[in-house]
This record gives sequence, structure tokens and C-alpha cells, in this order.
Amino acid sequence: MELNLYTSALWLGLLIWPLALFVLRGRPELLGSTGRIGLLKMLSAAFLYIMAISVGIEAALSFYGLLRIPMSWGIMVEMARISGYLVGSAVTRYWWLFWPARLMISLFGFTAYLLGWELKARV
Amino acid sequence: MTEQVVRMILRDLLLAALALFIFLTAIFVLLQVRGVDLSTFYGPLPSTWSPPHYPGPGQSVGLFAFWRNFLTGNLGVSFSYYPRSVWSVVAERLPRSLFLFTLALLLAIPLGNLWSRLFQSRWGSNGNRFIAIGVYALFLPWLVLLLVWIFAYKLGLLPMGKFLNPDIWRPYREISANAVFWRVVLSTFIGFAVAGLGWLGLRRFWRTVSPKWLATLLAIGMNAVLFSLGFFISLILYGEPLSSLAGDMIWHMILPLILLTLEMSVFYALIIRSDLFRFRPFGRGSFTPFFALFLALSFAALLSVETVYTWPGVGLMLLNAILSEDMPLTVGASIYIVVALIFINMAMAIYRGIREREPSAAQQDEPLVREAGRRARWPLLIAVALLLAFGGMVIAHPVLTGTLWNPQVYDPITGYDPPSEELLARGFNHPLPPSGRHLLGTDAWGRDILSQILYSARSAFALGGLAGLIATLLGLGAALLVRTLEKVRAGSLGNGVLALGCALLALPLLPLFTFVQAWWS
Repeated sequence: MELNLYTSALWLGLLIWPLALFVLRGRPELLGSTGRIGLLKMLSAAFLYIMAISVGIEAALSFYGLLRIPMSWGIMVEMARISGYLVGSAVTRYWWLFWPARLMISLFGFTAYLLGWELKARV
Repeated sequence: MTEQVVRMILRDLLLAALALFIFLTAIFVLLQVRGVDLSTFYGPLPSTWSPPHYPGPGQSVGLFAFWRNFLTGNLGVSFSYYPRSVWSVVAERLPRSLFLFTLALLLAIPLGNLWSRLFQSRWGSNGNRFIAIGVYALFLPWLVLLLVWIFAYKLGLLPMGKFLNPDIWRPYREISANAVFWRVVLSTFIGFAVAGLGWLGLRRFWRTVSPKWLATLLAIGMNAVLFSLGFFISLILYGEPLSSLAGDMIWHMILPLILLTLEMSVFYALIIRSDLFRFRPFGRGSFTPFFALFLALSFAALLSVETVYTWPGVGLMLLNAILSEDMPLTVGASIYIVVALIFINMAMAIYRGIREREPSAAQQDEPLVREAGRRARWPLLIAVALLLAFGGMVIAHPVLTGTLWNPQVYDPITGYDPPSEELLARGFNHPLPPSGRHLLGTDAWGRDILSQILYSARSAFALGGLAGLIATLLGLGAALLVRTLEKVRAGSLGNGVLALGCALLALPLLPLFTFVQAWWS
């Protein structure tokens, strides 16, 4: 069996759930009957944090060629690497092979993390 | 006081041992479930080596034998380094990585505190959050790339990779790299010892210097000078050629160390703001999930630094072992890496426990991120707009494929655009730079980059969304369970669940995931 998109997401979820637990433990009173909206915000924050982290992990694992995902930003960076366009001057001369994908990984993490943070701050 | 500290140290040692045995047993069970025959790890054995706790070819290795083998360093023979044993390969590589990791850790913690304090006090909470997250998520990772580009590539000052320069080492065949490496480690210890003695001697004096920042600055400068004195004088005392060889090795270590320090300081600054920071499942000075998560992330950074630099530490070795399907080395390296991280965590827990005072009630109630003034709306709006933009990318791909893009040319995976005769005549071939036909150019196989970027947004949402959903549901379930346990006055059981969560977070995710990958396929 190979780690494809869905099995790797499954494994990631199974390994990283304590993060959601500790985000929720930050405001234990929200788990009661009151504060449904607050709980929803906390859950979304946990969800978004994990989304940010999992895209980073996916990129790292793809970079090492360990995942079998048809196409992702991490795979794009890996393809630039294995075809030798990340060495020396090639990084700048063939910039479109590496930088857009790398920027997307950063931006996606930034977006999810910022949104999670803002939601959590508004509970 | 001292009795309390001794009890704390004993408890942390016990916890570390417990974590270790749970981890080993879990690995063993996973291997058994998968039907991996552990005896294959030991065969075909080289005739020079006969492990004491090996029942013989074809006979199964039980749990006790597995534990014993681990404790005595018998985890079989590496396939890719045949006939060397797993232990000898790990023992060669692990100290290097640990050295780099420890140095970066010592530098990253004050630096991370500095980042954190900088953003906490200077800007109000509105800009604070935005700038902090922007710096952590966007600026610093790119700064790392920029540093490599400037120092290694543009200026050519520092080497781009590798552990040492073979041209310098070639005449000295009888000197092994590790003999020089251990001398570097010794010199570092001497440097730290000298700086520590200087610090102890001048501690009174620094308190009398009037502006506090000046005293801090002077103290740091003084310690740096003392460290360099101890370090370099001891290096010179080794005599030629050992000094210059050690210098070469250090020269190759500078850029990896800077990058690792920067990355780790970012993780530290991010994580000390989180609620995890407060939670101590076993009381004062014990393992905290916050530090465990920090170590796990830092190990991922170490792995990436080693790979980018082809710096032959344990991370690079683990990666090569997985890619070459060297199962004994993968299992062995994963285990010893986790052990090393558990012990770093334990050492830091003990250190914190000795240093820290009980927080006052006021400190405990103090919010981790101070909120100053009204909360602005624009960071939230920016985040939502960016998320919508990513969502738009998911929709844009099928729409564009249906209307403007011919799938034969623009498919992100199977597409190919034959370069025109004119381009070929001018000596151009794939990867082609951006043009009207391909707005972001093509990759080495002639596929459209923009199409790949758009398509990948879907992968990111699918993977992140599914993982997030599973993890959030499990986390919610666990949180409800803990709450219920606390309500029926079984709080210690609830603490057990929290401790399990800590233990899971403490496992370095990347080596663990690589282990899962090797185990799964």
C-alpha cells in the first residue's frame, strides 16, 4: 500500500489530534452547554491550525519523495529538485519552477494560521 | 528544596524510561502486526559479528529480546551499509546531528524569546498578531533561503553543502572524520566552560552596570569573547593538521547552524504563545507538550537542513535508509532519534524545574498575548480574503480546463506542450519561461506551472481538510472525555488522557511519519 492523499491525511489526523485537544483545553468552560458559538470558533481554530501544519508536513514529505500524491505544491518543489533546478544559479534562472510553489506553501500556512488565530482571539 | 528537586529528577527519569518502553513496544507491535520478521534484520549476518540476543535465523524475536537488543545496541545489520551493524552506522551519525541540534537549541531559545518579546511589547495587539504571524510564517522562512543565496551562492563565502572538503582531507588518510569531530565537540565544551566561568566570576559586576540593556549587551559580548578564546585556543593546541581539518569541518557547519537556529527560534517563539505552554501534566518541571512539539518541529527542521546541505547527519541517513528500503536501519534510526529527543526533553524539563520558581497567582491569570485596545478587523478580513482566494483557485482549475485550456496541453499531470519550431531553433526547450501561452512557464516535462499551482490548491484543501477534520473530531472527543472524567472526580484519569496526548505530540512527527510510510508500504 502506498501513502496517497487520503491515507496520508488519515495518518496525519491520527497522529496530530492532541493539538486539537490542547487548543480546546485552552478554554475548557466552552465545552459545557453554553457558548455554542464560542466552541464552534475554537473548533474552527483547531481545524485551521492543523490544516496549516499538515500542508507544511505534506510539503516536507513530498520534498523527500515519500508521498504518492498526483500533484501538490510540495511535489512541484520536489520535481524542481530532482530535475536539478534547485542547484546553484538555476534557482534564480529557472525561478518559476520553485518560487511560486514555495510561496503558495508559505501563504497557505499563513492564511490558515492567521484565520485560526483571529477566530480564537474572538471567542 | 533539594529533596523536592531530587524527587522531580527521579520522576522525570522514570517518565522518560516509561515513554521509551511504551514507544519501543508500540514499534514492536506495529512490526508484528505488519508481519515483519525481525530475524531478517539479523541475516545474512557477516561472519565477524554475532549478536548476543539473536535466537538464530528463522526463529522469531520476541518482545523481551527486542527490548534487550535495543538496550545493548543490537538492531541488526544495515542492508545499505552492509556489513556494518545498524548501531555502528547510527553511532557514527547521531552525535553529529545531536551536536548541531544542541548548539542550535542553545541559541534558538534566547532568540525565540527575543522574537516573542519584540512582537509582544512593541506593537499593539492589532498589528502584533498580524506582523508576528507574518514574520513567523512568511518572512523568516524566506530569510533563510535568502541567506543561503547571498552567502553561499552570490558571495561564495560559505560552502553550499557537505560535511568537509575532500581536497583538504585527501593527504591525511589515517585521520578519521569522527576523530576530528570529537575534538571539535571537546573544544566547544572548553569554550562553554570558559564562558561559564567568566559569567560566574563577573555576575556581581554586571548587576552594577546601570542601564540594564547595556549590561546584557556587555555580558553577551564578554561571554562570546570568552567562548571564542576557549574554543579557538583549544583548537590551535591540537596542532596541525588536526586544527585546519577541524576548521574545515566548522566552516561547513556555520550555515547549517545559522539556518537551523533561525528555524528553531521561530518555532519556539510561535509555541511559547500557545496554551500548551501552561500545561504541565506531572507538575513542576515535567515534560510539557509545548516543548515536545517544539522538539518535534525542530527535528523536522534538522532533517530539512541536512538534506538541503547534504550534511551527513542522522536525518539524511534516515531518509536514505527509507528511500533504499533499508528496514533495519529505518527502524533503528527512528528508535534512537526518538530516544535522543526524549532525553533532550527530559534534560530541559529538569533544567526548567531547577531554575523556575512557582508562578504567582497574578502570573497564572495573565493572558499569554496581551490585548491592547480595540481589536481591529483588518487581520481577520485579510485572512478571509486570502482563504477565499485559495478557494477560488480550487474552482478556477476545472473552469479553466473546461473553457480555455486544452487538457492535452494544460493537464497538470499528463499535459505536454511541444515547443514550437521557432523556439527549438533558438535553442529553447522545456522548462520554458513565462509567456502568453503559459503564464507561469512550464516545468522540465513541459507541463503548465499555473495549472499545477491551481490544481494543487485542491490537494492542499483535501489533505489539510481531511486531516483537520479527523484530528479535530478526535480532539473534541478527547476533550469531552477529559471533562467528563473531571466531573465525576476521576481527574487523574483525565490527566492520563492529557499525558497520552503529550506523549503523542512528543513523538517527532517527521521520523514517525517516515516510519509509518516504511511500515505501511
